[in-house]
Amino acid sequence: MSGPAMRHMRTKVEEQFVPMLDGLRAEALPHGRLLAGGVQLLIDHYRETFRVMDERSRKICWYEFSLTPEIFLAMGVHPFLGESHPATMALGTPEVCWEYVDVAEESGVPTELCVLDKFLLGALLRRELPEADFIVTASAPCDSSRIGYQMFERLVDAPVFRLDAPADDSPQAHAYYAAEIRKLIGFLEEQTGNRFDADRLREVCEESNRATEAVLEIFELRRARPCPHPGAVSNSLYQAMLNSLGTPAFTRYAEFLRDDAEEAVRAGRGAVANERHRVLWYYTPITFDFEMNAWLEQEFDSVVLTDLLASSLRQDPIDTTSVDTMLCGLARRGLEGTMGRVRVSADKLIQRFLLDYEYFGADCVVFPGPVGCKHVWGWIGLLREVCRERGIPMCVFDVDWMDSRVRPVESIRKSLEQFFSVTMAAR
Amino acid sequence: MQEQIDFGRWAGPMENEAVARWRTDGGRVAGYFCTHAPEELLWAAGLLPLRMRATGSPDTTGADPYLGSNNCSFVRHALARVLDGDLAFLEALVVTNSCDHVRRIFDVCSAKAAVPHCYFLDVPHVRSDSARARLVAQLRDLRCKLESDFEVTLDDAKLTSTLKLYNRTRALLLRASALRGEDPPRASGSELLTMTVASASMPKDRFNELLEPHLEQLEARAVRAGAERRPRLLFVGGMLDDPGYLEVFESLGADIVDDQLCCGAKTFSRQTDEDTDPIEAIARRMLEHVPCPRMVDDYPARLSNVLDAIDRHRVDGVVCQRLKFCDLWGGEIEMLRSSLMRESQVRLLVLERDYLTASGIGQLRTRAQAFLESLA
Ligand code: SF4
Ligand code: SF4
Repeated sequence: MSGPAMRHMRTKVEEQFVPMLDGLRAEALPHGRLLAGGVQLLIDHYRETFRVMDERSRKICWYEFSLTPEIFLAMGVHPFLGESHPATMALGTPEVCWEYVDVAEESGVPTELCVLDKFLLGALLRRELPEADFIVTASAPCDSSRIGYQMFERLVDAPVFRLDAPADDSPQAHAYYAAEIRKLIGFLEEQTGNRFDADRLREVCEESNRATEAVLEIFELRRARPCPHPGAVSNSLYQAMLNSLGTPAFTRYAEFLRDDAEEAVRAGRGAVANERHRVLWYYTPITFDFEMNAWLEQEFDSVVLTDLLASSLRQDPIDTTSVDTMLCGLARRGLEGTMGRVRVSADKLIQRFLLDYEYFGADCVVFPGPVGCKHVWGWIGLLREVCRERGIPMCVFDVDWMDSRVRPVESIRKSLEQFFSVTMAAR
Repeated sequence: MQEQIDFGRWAGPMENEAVARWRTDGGRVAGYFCTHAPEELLWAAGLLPLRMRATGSPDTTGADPYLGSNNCSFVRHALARVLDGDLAFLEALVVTNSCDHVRRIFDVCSAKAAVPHCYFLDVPHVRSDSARARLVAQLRDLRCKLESDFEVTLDDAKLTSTLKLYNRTRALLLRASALRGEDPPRASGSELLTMTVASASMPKDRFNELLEPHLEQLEARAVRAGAERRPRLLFVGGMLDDPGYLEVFESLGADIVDDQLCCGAKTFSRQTDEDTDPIEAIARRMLEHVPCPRMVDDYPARLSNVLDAIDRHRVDGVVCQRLKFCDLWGGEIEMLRSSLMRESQVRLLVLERDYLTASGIGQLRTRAQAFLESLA
């Protein structure tokens, strides 16, 4: 295949995202005002990726969940989180997911691997991933990514740095992972020729803290009845954070959402006019059903307060006193603030679930269990028991959160319809 | 002539005659998952360590509320056996972070208090010095827990003598393995798997006592007569504890001359260093002895192990088998397939199976036959 890498994505950005942004800004699409900033960040991130790739003006790092961008920004590296790419590529065009999954499976990749890893492998084979100067993996969150990255490495001629992510979330585990990040700095110095500068890291962490402070306030405001913003907003925030946390542009977006939520709460304005149900959407959003949140709002007066991934954004600031404290903060943020979060024990996951349920004042749970996500299926049973004991209504179904052929939109909506019109209506 | 020992007596369901005898003598029993577990610590604490298996499991009903149908069938059967109370004799369970399926066994068993003492070891996924130090700290912690939970003293001297006992087992199995690698072999692949499974299902000292004279018999065994060369196979893959699966190939005229199976050669693939701090030595072996796809930094070592075995044993065909829904082995086999296509002339058969193999034997026979014909 000749020509520049990521041809499809370059076209998609200009021909789909840019008009979409115009539509959002013009409020031609639901909640446009609130979502436009997220799409703008996405466009900027991809345009910058293409520019850096074409000009080779900086090094590009393909990194994995369980890390956030700050350390790369501080080292003058362009960060590209592999796992955020599939959802963006398939946004509004689910057939793109089918194509890459098929390419991967035809090349011999087992069907039962997580869709993220199959998609990434297909995209890699089709040159739809950035030509990274190096790869950084975290050996988390799951078997699929652990073996997935070993497969990717063989197709990419680039050095790889592997961190060891512990399965625990204790302060000791964070300290261990902080030491891993310290080793990563050595690797980045070697690869880039840039010296680590503690003051530069502090600057980035402070920027990142400004954003996460606003994010904390946003979530605090989402506890209000009615909830001021729709579920799509927390998705958008999460997606934008993955590659842009630590940049002033992301901070501005978070602060804009915070100010807007504040005003909405003051005015008693909710995402849903007559909010009836407050839903904890516990796991991934369904990427091929763009209208899911709006449909729940319209049909059942239900607002999605947060999903599991977005809720992980509620993080204390990074202590910028010293390099050690910053690395510890980055370790915690990477491990607990991305999908890396699900690497812990079922017991820990349940504790967090209960905290989230209570914090947001939810009255039901929707749990879409991804078929490729094996550890989640070893957790759902225990979670179900806890919910039953506490009288928490729960709607569980299996799904592939990106490949609509596994369970199409209609089938997902049918399960939800049944849940809201029978279980929730009876309450 | 001394009677041949049938190690199949101990390689069937977990509660075998040796376990029953151990318990009658007042001994306590611990189960463990998987090849990465620090078996020696359990033995030194006076427990009989048994590798968790589910041979003969009737169904997975007991585990179904806790695991999905996309969890590996070995894990589903094993959890069902624990939750159904079939393994009520277990006083401890050590679960390592071997894979996402296995680690949830720990979560469910501890939530349900299915075994009096459940321990989890977060075995790192890389082999760096810092990763090993993290593992050493966990092993020291496990040692303290075992000491207090079972009111024993687990000193270095006890540990070192355990390492010697275990190394003896490994050395004996290695000797047996050499016999199956001969051309023609003096021992079969299924015999070897039976021995290795038995070795993880009974006290090691008794196993060693039995294996030693048995080995002498095997070494004196006449080699197969006749000039016909049978296809020589290498078996690779994750959980497989059923020698009957290998017998299908052998009954069709193949020799299984080596393996890289979790319950097979991986159990004796490297000795533990007896001349250093025993916990450090156990940690080192845990991280380095078993090239396993869960380790993210050693595919080249795993591939070179396979290539070496092909070379050393003049292998004609590699059989890669894995359990359905096992991501790790699914990806590994795919990588091996493409590497072997590039780097070796050897043919490859990829098999996907359920843990209990009996139902798939007819189909296996057909696939095996076709594969062996392709090697002719
Ligand atoms: S969805 Fe599950 S299987 Fe997929 S990458 Fe995330 S943790 Fe892994
Ligand atoms: S076969 Fe695979 S999924 Fe099953 S226990 Fe072993 S590593 Fe885990």
